[in-house]
Amino acid sequence: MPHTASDTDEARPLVQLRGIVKSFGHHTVLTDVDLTVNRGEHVVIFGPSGSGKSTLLRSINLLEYPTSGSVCVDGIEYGPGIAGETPTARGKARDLRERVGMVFQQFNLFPHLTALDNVSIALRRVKGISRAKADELAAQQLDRVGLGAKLASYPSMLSGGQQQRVAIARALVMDPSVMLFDEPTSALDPEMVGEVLAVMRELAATGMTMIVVTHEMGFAREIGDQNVFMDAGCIVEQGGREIFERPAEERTRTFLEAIIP
Amino acid sequence: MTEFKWSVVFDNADVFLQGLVLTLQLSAVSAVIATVLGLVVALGRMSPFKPLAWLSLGFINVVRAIPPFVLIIYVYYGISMALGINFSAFTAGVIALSLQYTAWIAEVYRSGIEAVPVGQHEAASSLAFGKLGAFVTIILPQALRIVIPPLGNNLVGLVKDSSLVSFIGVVELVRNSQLLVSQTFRPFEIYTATVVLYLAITVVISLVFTWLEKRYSTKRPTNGKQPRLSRARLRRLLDLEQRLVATRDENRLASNSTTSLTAPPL
Repeated sequence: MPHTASDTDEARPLVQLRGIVKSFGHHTVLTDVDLTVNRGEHVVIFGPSGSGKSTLLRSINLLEYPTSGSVCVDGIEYGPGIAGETPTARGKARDLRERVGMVFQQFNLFPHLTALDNVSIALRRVKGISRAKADELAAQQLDRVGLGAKLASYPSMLSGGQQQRVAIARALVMDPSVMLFDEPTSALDPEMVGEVLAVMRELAATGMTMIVVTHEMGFAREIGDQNVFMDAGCIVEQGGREIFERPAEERTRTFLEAIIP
Repeated sequence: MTEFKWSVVFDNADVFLQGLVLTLQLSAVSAVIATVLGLVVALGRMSPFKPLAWLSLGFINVVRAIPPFVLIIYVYYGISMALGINFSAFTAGVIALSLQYTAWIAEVYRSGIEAVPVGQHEAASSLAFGKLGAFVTIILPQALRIVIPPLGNNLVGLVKDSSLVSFIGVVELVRNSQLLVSQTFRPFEIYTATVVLYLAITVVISLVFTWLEKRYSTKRPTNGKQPRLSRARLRRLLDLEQRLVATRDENRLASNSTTSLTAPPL
């Protein structure tokens, strides 16, 4: 992926979350979460269901608007900000989302559009690229994920694994700085998990910055530069690969023992 | 026992035809207005701007509560008295039918729009679509597919309710039949012919809507065909696929000597 970045850009974190709080009424889902992601880093977020990991991921592109806290991507601040801090100029959610690609658990492909149009529609309607050019770029992305022969297929005619690969191409075609994956293989039949993970693995090898919420611990061990264990709306522990072998916290150990046979 | 005398129907074919034409005109104009206005009212009903939402909700509930016959009387006599405007019975009929079905169809649209899964909104947002862009490009096309069957039902209802306009003197199918009966004293034959004509209209409507439903279905096609792609579009996509194969081979050959400009395979 071509990405033009100056030296100063390289030095500072690509994504920085500070003091993210999210509550629904009296129920607090995220309690004051901080997370720093450097360019090219692969972050894995794991933890029990209801721990807030998806909410945290979704707050990065403001799909979940934090109750308070700051989201900083590529040096621009978004979100409501931190109480007490002097407010700074804030970017618009739409500008943020042009830099942040997202892949969903349920794929969320547009069922009324072909695979090609699923990928090219945002280029045309959001970025204003001509249909011919958008088709070209979209076809290339679909070819990258191994679906160069499925351009004319509608989502209903594709397997789950193929649909998720279209979804990855759809996010990649926007040329994002960072890709978010929200349990991308959880809705797949077991035999299709591999093809999606293979695409993600190769994407990681290209140096794409990735933040992945997943239960695939084998995959996490493989690509996770920074691994984040969440429970009850907080980051309990984070670290490199050693977190899987020698977790420092009891809660992390219990969770890993429960899910790794 | 007297015998049926179907000749009264065929002898008066031209009279039936006149009635049929008027029923079709009345229904078609009202259907177009209600189908367009229904969407507008549905959007008003779902608007985050509360006064507009309340106004739309009030319109829907009041109009749905008025029996169609009463609404026709209201429009024909009431509005002309209140505003001092005189319109023809035909115009009054079109206004009344349009109002009534705008209210029903607005609720049809609303249910269709709300039936589009939240994941579709999220996917559109994540691709940096704005609210309007997401609605026009992603949500509405799916909602329209969902409302095809109930919209067809409502239009069938509209055609039948158009007969109520006979009360204010529009000589459509039913009024025509009444007049014929008073001349021929053959109610059974005349009304049977009327029913057959209504049946013909509603059958045509259902056929059209069944076709639309099939044509725009997003379900997995059972015959493996792609009914929705235009021939030109399909040709373009297949052409793109072939070019991909060609450039892929090229890149493979060139990969030893030069770096490829296209994206690397994943």
